[in-house]
This record gives sequence, structure tokens and C-alpha cells, in this order.
Amino acid sequence: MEAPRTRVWPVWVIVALGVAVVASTIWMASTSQRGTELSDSSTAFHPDDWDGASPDFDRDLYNPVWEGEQLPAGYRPVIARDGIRPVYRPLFVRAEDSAWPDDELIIGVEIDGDARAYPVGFLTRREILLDMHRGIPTFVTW
Amino acid sequence: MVHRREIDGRAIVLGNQGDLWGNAMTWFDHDTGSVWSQPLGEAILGPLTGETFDLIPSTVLTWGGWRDRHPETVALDAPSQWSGFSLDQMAIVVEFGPDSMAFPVTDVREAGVANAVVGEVPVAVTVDPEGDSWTVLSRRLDGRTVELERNGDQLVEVGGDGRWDADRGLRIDGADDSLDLLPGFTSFPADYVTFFPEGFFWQRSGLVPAMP
Repeated sequence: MEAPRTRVWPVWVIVALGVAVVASTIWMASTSQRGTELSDSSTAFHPDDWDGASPDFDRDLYNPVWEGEQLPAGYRPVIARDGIRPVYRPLFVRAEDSAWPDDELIIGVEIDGDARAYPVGFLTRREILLDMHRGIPTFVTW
Repeated sequence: MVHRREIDGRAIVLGNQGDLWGNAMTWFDHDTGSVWSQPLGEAILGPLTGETFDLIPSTVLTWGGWRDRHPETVALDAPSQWSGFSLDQMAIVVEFGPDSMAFPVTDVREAGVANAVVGEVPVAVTVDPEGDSWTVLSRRLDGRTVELERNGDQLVEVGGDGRWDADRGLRIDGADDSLDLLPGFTSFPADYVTFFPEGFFWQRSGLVPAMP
């Protein structure tokens, strides 16, 4: 009686699978850095060619609340730092590529002819967005 | 609100502190961990206490209205989400140093223009009578102070011949003497009272203290 044959994968298949795993890992990491809340529009860009701010901060960073500083009246700790994650790496699309309805409420900023719109509804959920606008570091909040 | 996140020419990265003060959000900076108040744009705890960020002129209006005025605009690559807010619920706040004034949107819309003085700065606050666009402009012009009224999309000098675009303060006839855009931000009236108890509400009939 013949023993069952063990299937051996060709080397090129193993290499191809390895490459695919590495590539998908890199792609997932890059999209998560953009913020999964943002659409994956292929036309998205940043007018300043800005790569964004790093979302990383030292978890041991000084926190005046934990260190016992005298808090002003009415100050209430609620959730952890970045418990609501800011948008650190915004991207934009041209007006004609946006799907917003005309009555979408937005915050509008124009600097040296460079006009940008940030939707209020989105900002009520993310609260904070860091941007670079004609070389000026800006901070949009709602 | 839109701030310039910069101290001594260096860009500052901020995050969400996750705490509330006066029912408004707080931030922390990634360098020192200081805690900042959103409505004040000022560090209130930590090593940077007392530092402030400058406001950048911005406006709140509908996407359609903004796109009409700025056809070359770009839009944040983010989905549409109903905000649940109407500009008519809010006031436009102008702040210079310790002085501030809140201009209820509905009152300004009805008046066309609010001519006021905030911290010795003569300002004009105007709201589009048919839309949601608002603007804060300086009324200082060539060493004099002008009084303005609204006529459609234009601001007109009372007792003079100056005419300016109400959105940007640009002189209609192309002359150089444009009105400077000034920073302002929208706030719910109750929040204004919390953070600016020494301030005033503008009304057509006169100023009303925030805390009577």
C-alpha cells in the first residue's frame, strides 16, 4: 500500500505569499495613519504637501491633573487623552469631488487665496483637526 | 474656532485632553503636557500656563454658500454628517485682549451690520441676510473710523461713497482701501457667558452685560 504523499509548496509560491503579507501590512498601517474615518478617495491630497503631525505622544508626558495641580473651578476630568482622537493627518479633495450636500455646515478658512472647508458635523465627533495652511500651522476645533 | 498653533515661530502639536472646563473642551500639547482651554485659546495648567494662541479669521456657513464664494476651495476628505446645529443658535464673538463682545447672529442678520467698538478697535460684524455667511471687519480706514450699513452683498459707508464686498472687505471700485478682516468665532450664548462673564452682548438697542 502506497503511503499518502505530502504536498510540497514550490519556493516561488512561498515567496509570493510572504511578499503579499508584507505589502498588505504596510498598506493597512498607512491607511490607519490617515485615519480610518476619512474616505479612501484616490483624489485626496494635501495642498501644502504636508505629511501631517505625529499622533504619538509620550504616555508618561506630564499631566497637570494627575500631578495634583490646583484645578480651576468647574474643571472636570472626563476621558483619557486622545480618547476622542484628533485628525492629525488631514487630506482634501477638490470641490467638484466632494459629495457633501449644499446645506452641510462647514468652517471655512482662506489664507492667501487658499480656501479650505471643514465640515462641522464631522468635527463634532472628532473635535480637533491639525492642519498646515500655506505654511501656517493651524488648529481647527469645534 | 481656528487657532494658529505656534509659539515663538515653532509649530505645536496638540491633542485632546479629554477634560471639560466650563463645559468646553481642553487640549494638551505634546511637548509639555500643559492643558489648554478651547474658548480662551490659552494654557490654563502646566508649564505653559498663560501662553495663548492667536485666532485665525474663519467663518461658519453652508458648504454651498462657501463654494459659491470660493470656487477653488478644497474640502476635507471626510463624509457628510448632520451637525444638528444652526448658525441662528449662535453668537459671533470678537475678542481683543481682556475685552470681548458677542453678536447674536439673528440680531446682526436683522440689522445687516453691527457697528461696535471692542477693546478700542472699531469693528463691523455682518451676516448675509439670505444665507449663513458672516464676517468681522475693521472699521478703521486711513486714520478715520467709518460707519457701515449693508446693501445686498455690499457694505456701504454711511455719509460717504465707500463700498466694499461684505465677505472679504474688498473695495468694490478696486481702490486700495479695503477693510481688514478680523478674527471672530461662533459660540453658543450660554458658553460665552461662562467664559467671558465681563463681556457684553450686542443688541440694536444697546449693549447688555453678559452677567447682569
